[in-house]
Amino acid sequence: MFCFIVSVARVTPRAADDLFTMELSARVDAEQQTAHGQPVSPALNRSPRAVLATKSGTKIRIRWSIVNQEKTGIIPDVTVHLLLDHDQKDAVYESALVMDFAAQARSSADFVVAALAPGNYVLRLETIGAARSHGHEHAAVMDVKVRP
Amino acid sequence: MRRAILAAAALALMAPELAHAEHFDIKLVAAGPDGVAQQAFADQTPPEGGLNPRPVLKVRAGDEITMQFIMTNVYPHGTAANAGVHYYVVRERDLGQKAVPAVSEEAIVDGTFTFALKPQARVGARQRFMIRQPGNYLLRVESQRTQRDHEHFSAIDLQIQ
Repeated sequence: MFCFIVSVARVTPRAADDLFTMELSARVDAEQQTAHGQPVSPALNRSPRAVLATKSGTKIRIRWSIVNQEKTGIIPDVTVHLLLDHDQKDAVYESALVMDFAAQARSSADFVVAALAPGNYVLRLETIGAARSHGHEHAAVMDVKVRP
Repeated sequence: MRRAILAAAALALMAPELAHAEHFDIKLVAAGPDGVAQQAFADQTPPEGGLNPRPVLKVRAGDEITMQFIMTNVYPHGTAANAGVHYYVVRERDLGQKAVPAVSEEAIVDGTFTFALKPQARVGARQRFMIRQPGNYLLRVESQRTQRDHEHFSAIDLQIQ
């Protein structure tokens, strides 16, 4: 019985059933792209990603929010990590915060980056440590293409 | 795995030296080209502008500047459910001025976090940016809505030549 309970608890839920929700958006002028968090799995890297295209030097407004919509329970000691990097080697922006996601708890951020050099960037928001009590991590990813 | 290491490294590398403040420990660093850098620690407001003089980072217009901060809640009691952190770079009239300029759309850097602030909670960010117009600028990171009678901040002046 114990093994059954453990295995059920570790089944990755469908995204629609998961009440730990994550949203990542990036906006340039009137164009906005949004990525929703998904459980981290090998399939995540194969999923098509939103692409925000912009010109070098323009300001990009980036927002994210994470909500634990469960009515009870806590997901403790979750690191929320965001990285905007160029060709996976050159971080333009990076942030991290640690908090306990109590039931109905929410965290968010809102910031602007500017003057990106032309090239391809990846914007990734992810949890680290949620899997200990929640069963899996979440991530939301999008591409940012900066033209000269 | 790489990203987990990055996140851990981001917080560890920015790890503050403890016991600079009663509620918040803050370490703020601004670095220009050629390894020139200034760092500042926690101050508090009121009074506006705090008590400590601010270090000044001198760089040229168009130089790349990297700012990095980490704030640690060293207050051991209670949680503020809707606390915040605001960080920004805005133009200022004079180096060292006590008045804090308003943050507008013209800010060079402007970012916020909202989160549940528990004991030992930690938040940090690192951002690269450029300032093309010579002048005096204020780099500041501050706590918000911590449900105490004062807030903490750390600040560095940027003199763009």
